[in-house]
Amino acid sequence: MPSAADAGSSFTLRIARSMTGLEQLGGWVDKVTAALGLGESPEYALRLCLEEAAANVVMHGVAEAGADADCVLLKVEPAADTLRVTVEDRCDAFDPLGVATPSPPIKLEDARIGGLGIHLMRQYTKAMAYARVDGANRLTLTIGR
Amino acid sequence: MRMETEEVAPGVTKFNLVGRLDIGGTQEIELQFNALAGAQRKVIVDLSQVDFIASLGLRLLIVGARTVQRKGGRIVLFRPPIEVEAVLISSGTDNVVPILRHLDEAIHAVSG
Repeated sequence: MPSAADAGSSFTLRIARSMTGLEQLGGWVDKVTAALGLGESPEYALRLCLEEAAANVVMHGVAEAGADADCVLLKVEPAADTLRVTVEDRCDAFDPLGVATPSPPIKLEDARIGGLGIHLMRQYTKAMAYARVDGANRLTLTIGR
Repeated sequence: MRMETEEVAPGVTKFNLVGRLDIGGTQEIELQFNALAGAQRKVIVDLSQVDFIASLGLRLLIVGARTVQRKGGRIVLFRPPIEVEAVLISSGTDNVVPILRHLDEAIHAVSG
C-alpha cells in the first residue's frame, strides 16, 4: 500500500517504482490541489512535474538488486507564492539537469517518442535543483502558485 | 479517460477524447486509440475535452499520427484547451501534427 500523509502543511506520498505506482499519482494530486485550493495553472504545473519526474525514475532508473530502490518518495511543501516539490529515489545517480534540451521536430518521423519530460518540467518550474544525498537522487522543483 | 468516435464527413473520423491524458488516462485508451488509428485514414483528434497532457499523452498522439501517416492517411489535432496547447507547442508536436480550431478546416485538412 502507498503511504500518503499530510504532515502540517506538507504532503507526502510514497509509491512503488512501477507503472502501478505511477497510476496512484493522479488521485493524490487531486487531493493536494483541493487541499491547497490551487488554481488551474499551478495545478497543471504540479501534475505535470510530478508525473514527469516520477515517470522518469520508473522508466529509466537503474538500481542494483537489494539497493532499496523500489520506491519513489514525493513531497509537496507549499509556501506563500510557490510550491516546493521534492522527488527522491535510491536508484543510481542521475542528474536530470544535465540533459540537453531537445531540438523541435521538423518531420513526424523525427518527433521524439520519449525524452521530453525534463524539457517540459523546465517550462513549468521557476527553479530546478538536483543533489545526491546519502545514496539518493533528490530533485527539487519550485513551482509558482 | 474515455474515447468515442464519430464520422463527421464521409470517411472522416473524429476521435473524441474526454478526461486527462495523464499516465493512467493514456493507458486506459491506448489500445483503443492505436487500433482505431490503424484502421482510419482521415482522422481528427478532438482534444477540446482533454484537460491535461504530458509526455506519455504526447507519445500516444505521435505514435497514432505515424500509424495514420504510414498508410498514406492524414491526421490533425482539434481545439485543444490553452494549457494542453501550450504543451503541444512546447514539445514541437504542432510542427508535425497540425492544430486546427474549426471543424470545416479540420475536415478539409485530412481530406486532402
